[in-house]
Amino acid sequence: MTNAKTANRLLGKYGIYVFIILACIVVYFFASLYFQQIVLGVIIIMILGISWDVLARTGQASFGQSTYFGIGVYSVAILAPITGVVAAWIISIILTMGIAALFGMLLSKLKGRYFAVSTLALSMAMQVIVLVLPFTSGASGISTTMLFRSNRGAQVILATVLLLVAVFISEQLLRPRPRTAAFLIRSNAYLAESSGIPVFRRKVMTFSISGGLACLAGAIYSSIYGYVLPEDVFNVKYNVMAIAVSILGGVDSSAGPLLGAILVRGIEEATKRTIGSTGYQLFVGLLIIVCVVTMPNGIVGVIKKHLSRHRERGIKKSGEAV
Amino acid sequence: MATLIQTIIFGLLVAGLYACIASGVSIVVGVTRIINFAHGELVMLGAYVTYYLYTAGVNIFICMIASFISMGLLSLVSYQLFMRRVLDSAEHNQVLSTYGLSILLSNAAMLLFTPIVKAMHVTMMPSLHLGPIVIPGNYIFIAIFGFILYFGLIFFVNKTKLGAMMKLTSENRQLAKYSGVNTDLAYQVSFVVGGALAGAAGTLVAVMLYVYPTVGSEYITKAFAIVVMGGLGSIPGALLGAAILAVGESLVSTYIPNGASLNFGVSFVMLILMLVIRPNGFFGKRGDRA
Repeated sequence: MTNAKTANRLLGKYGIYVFIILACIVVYFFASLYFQQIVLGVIIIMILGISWDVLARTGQASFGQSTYFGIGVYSVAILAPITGVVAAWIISIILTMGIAALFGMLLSKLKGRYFAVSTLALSMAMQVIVLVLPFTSGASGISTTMLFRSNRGAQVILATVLLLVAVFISEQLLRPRPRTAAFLIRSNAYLAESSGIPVFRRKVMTFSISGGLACLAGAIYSSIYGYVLPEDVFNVKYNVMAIAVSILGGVDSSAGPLLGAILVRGIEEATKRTIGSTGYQLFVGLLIIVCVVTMPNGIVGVIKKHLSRHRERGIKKSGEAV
Repeated sequence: MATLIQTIIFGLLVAGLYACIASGVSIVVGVTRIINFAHGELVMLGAYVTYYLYTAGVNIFICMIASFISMGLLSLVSYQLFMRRVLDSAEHNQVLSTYGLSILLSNAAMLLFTPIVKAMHVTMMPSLHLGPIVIPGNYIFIAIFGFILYFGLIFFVNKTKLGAMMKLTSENRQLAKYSGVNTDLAYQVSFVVGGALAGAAGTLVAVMLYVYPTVGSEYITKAFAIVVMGGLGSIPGALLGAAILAVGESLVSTYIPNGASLNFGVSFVMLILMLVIRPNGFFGKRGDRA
């Protein structure tokens, strides 16, 4: 009995990592090049989703994750030829975390709808700023350094490792203390403040971490595609994707964005094949609406509900036996 | 000097269209607390209705009435099918579901009407010549009807019983319920009115510019900037925000080289400045957002 319990606990704690690693091995050895390319896209969306979820736990539901994603893409693209790839990644992440912290301070007082619209505005403004800045080569786009001589398999492994890092960070923020703090900040900031949680600092810190994660997704994007246009990356699509995969998968968990990304991208690919590249997103829109209406807590919410019902039944049965 | 005056007049004329769209967003946000991202798609579909009817030989005013009614109904349907089910959900779920609707409608339009850009090539009025200043007739047309629709909305909200219901619901939902207002009816009316305004604005868009499936998203982002500048749910704020934004855009595209491509940026730089200087918007209630 205790053995089963420990196994359950371990599975809950490390199962997600094991699952990711297994999936990566399967994809590395058995998937076609085309499928590996899709997987890379899915991993990018997963990390972006995690970055949104981390931030949303503190009640800051962002509508502009493409801001930090895009900054990541661009800064890695610009820095890599100058400083080398590794340094470029490190500098980019630090830079993006700094910018995100700055925006976090600016937006920390805003709530709900205002926060959503303002973050959206920031992401659109960023697209224009990239057009104007002297070193981004404007509307004509920028060429990026591809990693591993565009060997997809190696790129999948790198992306998986970074996904594991993102999940690890997210799990750290889900441990009892930070999770309770985030919950308090989200539900009642005054109460949180008076119970000794540094609300402003926490919010800004989370904003910065979230920006760093989105930048990570951008850095991967930058090193697997050879060329980027400003409207490719500072695109509302990434704002929506980050939210959609997290909410459809289930908020306040690390597994949610992963499941959501698989669901959304799966539907997208399937419909793209059947109807062609015009208008296929119709079904993505439909999926989003249906999911939000029928399961507001996402896939993880449904699973949890099912499990708890199962458990309750188990308790009842054992009670009857006594 | 003449260029400056012309630029400002241009901006003020376009403001009529912006005010019409933004006040529709604002009325829905004010009453139901839902930011409707699909509002832009209603504008787009309204533009298509107008385009197809007009090219079939229907009078432009009847086109406008048709767009007005059909988009009002579509908006009501979208409320009954989806939006009423997320009224009590978390805010990010609401935003996401309206965004889903927006993706759905714009892609449906791509499938139905193809992504090819369509133009009506219509001149509604002769151009106006004031000395060196020339104002195209179509701009005067959209300004006149934009403002008629905008002030029509103000009249509706302030002078009719349904309008009063909406106003009360917008100010205090709980109180409205206790004083016997049918809040569900108020929500429905706000969606119908917002959608109808969007449809009529679609006619104006079709007259002024081109019609294509993503034309709505362009206007909706501007409408959000305007609405936040004016204060969410404030109708006078929508007009002021629209005027500031339209004139700002017009000035930038005239005086900054290659400025037309920075159009979007103007709205958002203004919005961010606004958030820093006066976070509640011009007419926003204090404590509304912070």
